[in-house]
Amino acid sequence: MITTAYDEPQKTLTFSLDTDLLSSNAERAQACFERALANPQPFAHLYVDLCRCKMVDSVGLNLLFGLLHRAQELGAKPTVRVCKGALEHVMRVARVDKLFGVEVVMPAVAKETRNNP
Amino acid sequence: MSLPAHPPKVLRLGCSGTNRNGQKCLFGIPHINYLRNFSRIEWEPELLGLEEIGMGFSPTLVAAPGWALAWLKSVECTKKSFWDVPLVSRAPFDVWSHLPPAPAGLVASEGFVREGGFVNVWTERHATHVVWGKLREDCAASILAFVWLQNVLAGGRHWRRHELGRLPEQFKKHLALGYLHLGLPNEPVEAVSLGLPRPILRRKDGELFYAGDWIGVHERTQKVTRAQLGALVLPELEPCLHERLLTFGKNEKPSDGVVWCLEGVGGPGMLALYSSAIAARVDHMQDTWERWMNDRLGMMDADKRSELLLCVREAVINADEHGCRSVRGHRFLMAMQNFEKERRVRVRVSDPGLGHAHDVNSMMARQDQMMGRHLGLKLIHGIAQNMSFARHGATLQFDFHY
Repeated sequence: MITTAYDEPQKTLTFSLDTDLLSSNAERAQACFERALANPQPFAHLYVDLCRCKMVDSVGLNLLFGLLHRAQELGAKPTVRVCKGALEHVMRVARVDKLFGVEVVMPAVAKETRNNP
Repeated sequence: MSLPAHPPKVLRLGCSGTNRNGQKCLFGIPHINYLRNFSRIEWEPELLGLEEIGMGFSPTLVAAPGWALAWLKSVECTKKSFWDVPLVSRAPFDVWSHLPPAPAGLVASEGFVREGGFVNVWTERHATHVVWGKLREDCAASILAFVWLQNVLAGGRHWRRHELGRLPEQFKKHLALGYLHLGLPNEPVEAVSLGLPRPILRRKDGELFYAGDWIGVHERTQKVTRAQLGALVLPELEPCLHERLLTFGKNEKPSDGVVWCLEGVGGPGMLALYSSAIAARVDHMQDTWERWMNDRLGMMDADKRSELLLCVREAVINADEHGCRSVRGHRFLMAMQNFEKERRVRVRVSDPGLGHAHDVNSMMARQDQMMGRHLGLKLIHGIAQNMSFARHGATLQFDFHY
């Protein structure tokens, strides 16, 4: 469900989700995040990559908010990465772009990144 | 030689122990067998916490058991005098001899009527209203409540609106009702359960069943065919159209709830009635909505469809969590209609809750959203258009232009 990648030179931690973040799987996602953040390597940036998600509902957004806040508390700069389209709009409506950071990528670029991480 | 006529035996049931003329009367509701000794019963609706009484001559009852009609011909609602004019309020007894015909397509099954079921239907300004319930033959309070209800419903628009909106708990305890309001395609669809413990239709083993005695304790079920489904619960959406408008669509099997796919009502629509506590089933429900959107909203691009799906999901989860408190035994209604010419989809979700006074633009709402509360409403408000509340917030409606 969630893949974790750590780039030591850049001090960047990346969570990539391969499913939608919804009320029905939020608990599972929360557990995954908890596990990943239990003993993290020191990181200055946290990327939450939602390029493979089609939908994030209000429960998923709450979970995301919690995660991003936590990253801020740990002194990291959190950024959400989404594909251009519906999810980008949702992030804007929920003010994720104002409160944290949102990086919008074109779907083709996201696909390429997935193939060549 | 004719036999001397016996004076009719009249029983008066009142609140104070005296009737309107100062004569003594019973001030409680006796056993049903006692009532059977009298040819006429006068009673004050206040006994059941009902204050107003309807006056009218246009019965809306289209199906009821014969013994219930007999009670309608012998019980009248009375009220204490008003400006010294004694009030006796009822439709004339003879109007209950012949019930008006049910609208085309509405059939109450024999079993339903035999077990005390009744159905009222009336139309106002092209909107159709349906009230249904089940009488208990052995309960005097249930029968008195039924008589009162029929007189109110026969009493015209004002009485119906005035009375149905504020039925006391005591009434609902004795006579639980289901109510459905269907307007024109662009008008609200509302369903309200007044004291109902269970939905009228439920799924079992992949089939739909009509819980025939859903008001009673024992539940005996009867399989419902597609043809019977609309007839049991819904009358025609638009009385002026002759064709049935309710179909299941092609090979569609919704995974949850009762879903009607409507065709030819100004654009395709979907009407879904769900039992509460949906947390574990919402993804399956979403699949049904997505299939419907993919089939019927071809003009809408994928991103828009995804946003619409999210708004519907949020509205439905909201209705379940707040309107039904996520506990079993309630139900809520979701209606979605596509207006192709206007390139607009309208969604309406009604729940049986008390509603709320949430204002998404208020300072408090903004603070709440920062804390992650009411985020669902915030999303709908930001993504959809014309979001509005009705029934004090228990109904949420929004449009989606594409």
